[in-house]
Amino acid sequence: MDTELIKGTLALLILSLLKRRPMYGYELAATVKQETDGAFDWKAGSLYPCLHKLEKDGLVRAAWEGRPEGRQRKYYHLTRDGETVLAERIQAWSSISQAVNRVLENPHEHE
Amino acid sequence: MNTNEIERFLDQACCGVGGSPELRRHLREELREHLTEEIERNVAGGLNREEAVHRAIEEFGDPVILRDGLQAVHGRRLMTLLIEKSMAWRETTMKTGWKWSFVAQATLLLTVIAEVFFAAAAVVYVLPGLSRWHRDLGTPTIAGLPTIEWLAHAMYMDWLWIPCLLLVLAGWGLFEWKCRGENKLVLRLAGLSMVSLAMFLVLAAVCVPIVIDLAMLPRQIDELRVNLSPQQAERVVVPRIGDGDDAFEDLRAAISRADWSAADLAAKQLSDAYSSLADASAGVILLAGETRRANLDEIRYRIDEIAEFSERIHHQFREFQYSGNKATEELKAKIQTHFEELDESRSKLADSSDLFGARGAPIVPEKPSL
Repeated sequence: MDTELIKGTLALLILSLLKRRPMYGYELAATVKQETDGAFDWKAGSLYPCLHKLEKDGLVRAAWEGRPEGRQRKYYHLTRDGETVLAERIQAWSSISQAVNRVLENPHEHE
Repeated sequence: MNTNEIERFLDQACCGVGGSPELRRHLREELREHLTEEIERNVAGGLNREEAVHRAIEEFGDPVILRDGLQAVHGRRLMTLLIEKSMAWRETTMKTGWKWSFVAQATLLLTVIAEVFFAAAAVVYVLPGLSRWHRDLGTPTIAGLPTIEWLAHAMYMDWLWIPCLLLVLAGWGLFEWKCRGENKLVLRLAGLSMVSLAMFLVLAAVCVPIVIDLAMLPRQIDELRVNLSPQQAERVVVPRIGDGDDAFEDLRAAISRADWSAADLAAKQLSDAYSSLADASAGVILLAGETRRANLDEIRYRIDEIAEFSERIHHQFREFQYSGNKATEELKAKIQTHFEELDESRSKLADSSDLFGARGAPIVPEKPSL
């Protein structure tokens, strides 16, 4: 799949996944890979810079949480600002996808 | 688990990322946790540890892309930036050919030589001359000047700077002989730059006080001329000369009487009187009417000499007292010799200066008989 297209959706999908529940980096990548049937296979090179950018912008909040075996994971939580931005982006994405779909599905062009 | 491989990978991914040390530590932990989880999943999928590590690293993606992305968010560390710029500069200079590198090295080397030359010239020629001026005029010097006088002494300490110089040359020779890497040129340039900078600091430390002092000297001379008329100066100088004459007479009389403790005291007073003249009043003597500049050196020399001879006599008396007050023939002979030297110096001083002869009193005394 076109990597530029994937990059454009990265922040949107991360925020969307975090709206369900707090997740850590590996979990985010694994979840999106599973739910897109492998279409989206986020590499660390794009996932972590995006997560840190969102954290820096205040859209997500990170917290280390311990596990019974002693290791710690860095969980990302969606903030109030993040929820607002997510709603705006979903709205924008919806408009864009509808517009794109209208063009793609125009029967006159396919004739 | 191949820990070294993971750590190497994390080094590549986190290298040069800016932010606080805590942020970098957390970042590294986060990425390590991601890798560990992937490795565990691979192992659970049936791979052995080594294969699991390889697969996890492969899945993780290019560490350079990750590092660039993180640097875009958190900025870059200054040291990394400097190293990268240096390497880029090195590449550029290597491409420009050997001519430019030769010019750069030769310029730095010449700069170092010039700095050493100017610092040495300032210390060996300018500083003593300036100190002498202050001594002649009896004017205060600025605080910085005496502190750099140790450099003048250091210049004559062959045992100190010759080994240091040999050490530096040996180090350079060793570098040229042993260093064969591609960074040799950069290292040589860096070394020369550091030496040049260090020498510049030494030069500044030497020259700045001298320049300030030279700038202040004319004003000090003007103030002296205003504040100290020849008549006033004479009132300063003549009593000191008188003290010296009195002490000399006392010394001669005490030696004649074989009164050693009085002679010791007189010798000490004589030494103090001429040391006082030697310390500050040569300039006063000049202002008091001694206009024959050529004679001033002679006057200064004789004053120093008299102070030295009287100090020797004082020292001989000390030895005499420590030896149990037994005036041996040898001791008497030594005192006699020093006294004759002292006598001769005072005669020459009187000959060389109208001021010293102006009192009319016979400065040349009769030789004492022990």
